[in-house]
Amino acid sequence: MKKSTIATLLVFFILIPVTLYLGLKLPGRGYYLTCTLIILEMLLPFFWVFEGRRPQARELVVIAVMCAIAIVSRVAIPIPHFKPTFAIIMLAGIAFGPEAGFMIGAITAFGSNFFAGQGAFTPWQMMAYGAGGLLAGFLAQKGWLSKKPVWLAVFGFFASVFWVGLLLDVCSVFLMPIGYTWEAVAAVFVSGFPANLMQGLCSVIVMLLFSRPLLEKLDRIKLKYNMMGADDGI
Amino acid sequence: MGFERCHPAVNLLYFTAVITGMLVFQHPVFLIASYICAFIYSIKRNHRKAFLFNLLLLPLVATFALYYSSYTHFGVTILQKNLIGNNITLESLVYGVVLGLSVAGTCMWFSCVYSVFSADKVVYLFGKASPRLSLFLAILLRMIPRIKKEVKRINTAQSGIGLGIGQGTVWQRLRNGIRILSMVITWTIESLATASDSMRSRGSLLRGRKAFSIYRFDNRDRAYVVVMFACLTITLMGVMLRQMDMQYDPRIVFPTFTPMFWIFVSGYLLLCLMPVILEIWTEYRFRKARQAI
Repeated sequence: MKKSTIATLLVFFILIPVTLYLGLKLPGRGYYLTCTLIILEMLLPFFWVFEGRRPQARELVVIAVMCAIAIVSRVAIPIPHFKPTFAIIMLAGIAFGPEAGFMIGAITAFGSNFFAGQGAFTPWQMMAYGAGGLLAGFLAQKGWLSKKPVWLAVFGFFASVFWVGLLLDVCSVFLMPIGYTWEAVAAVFVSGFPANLMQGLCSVIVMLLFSRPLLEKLDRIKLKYNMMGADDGI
Repeated sequence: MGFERCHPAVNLLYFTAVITGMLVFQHPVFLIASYICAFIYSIKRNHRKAFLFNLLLLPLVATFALYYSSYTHFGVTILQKNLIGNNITLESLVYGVVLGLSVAGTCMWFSCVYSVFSADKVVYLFGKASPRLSLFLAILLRMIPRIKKEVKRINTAQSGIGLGIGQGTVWQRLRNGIRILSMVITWTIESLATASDSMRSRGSLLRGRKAFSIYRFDNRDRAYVVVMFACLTITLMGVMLRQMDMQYDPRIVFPTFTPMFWIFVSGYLLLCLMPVILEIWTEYRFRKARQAI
């Protein structure tokens, strides 16, 4: 396994949950601090990908454009719980690797909440959105994920419903004053399920329609400008 | 030939002060003073367009006040009951007007900000804080008109082969739109990548690079800053002496009008009128100088 991947997994499974948990105790607008911390923590593995050299401006530019597309897709589509954002983040993760996918997801959550409304849930959304990009990128890097639209659609559905959606529901468990009984937690998950299902369907549609052109585009740019460690594959 | 010729830092300081005042002061005299100045100055800058915009804001303010007073019911002076039996009070109506006017005034001040602050001023101000950020800001700001132009170009070319946005049935148009969107995304990423590469090869991120700017802090800026801070001091004195305090809930309470109060008001009025005075004075001087030739 690559060093940067190990670092990403460590950050995701240990550092960020700890930050989120401690962030729960901050009063008032303390969630901005938690958001900042999570972005900083995620930058660590991202910079590790470049193995000593600094990321070039063009690489950051491509990531910024992907974030912008994901943010616009969340803000511009007026149907609630039916946003192509998850699928776009996953595709970005598949094309650019788990570290970049993680970062694109988190920045998308943070950036789009300036339109949709910031709150104590923002750091959790950052974690969940980033997790989508991370999982997709990780599986694609290992070669376990076929790039055919149908398989991507299946993956997108399950990842949206049972991975990103589930993580978002975890946020509600922690932020709602419901007490941590099994029944209460189950109630949150069950009531969140229809929304997750809608998101899953949206991801399926996006993956079927747009995965091929978008991946082609991103792979071509990656190859043409030799970015994000594209030379490993050649 | 006006306020936009002043140093960007002066522009920034001035607009920050004025817009903060507009949002913070809830005393009607101060509010209306700033509102009228914003009205005059935006017309001075943007002529007819601003006049129409400002007039359009007024019915919005009235609507907001009605909306506000029919949803919040604090206050003791009851005007009448509305159709579901809630009290409409004078206090909440007045407070709605105050809120509406301060938002409308802020909009008008912002229309002045847009006409005074050109993109290069923004980049210059940011460049003081972080040259790298200002470089990206410059590229991004330049990118928006470039993207618009490119969309037009691609659409023209695609129309030539029958795939323009305005050709075919609704579904075909949608398809064509998505096609063009995809092309624009590719083009944007690539041209941003080449732009950042070319900036890099010109050494834009090297140590010791200096940013060129056409701005310098001249005597006019100094005079402007001195007067501005004098006015600000008078206004802040009023704040410290609690002359701007207003209470709308549950009863409208305001401080008594002393002679000092009018001094504070005139200080604030002068602050808000400064750019108008500057521009009229400059135009007068210019005309005089031209006649003397």
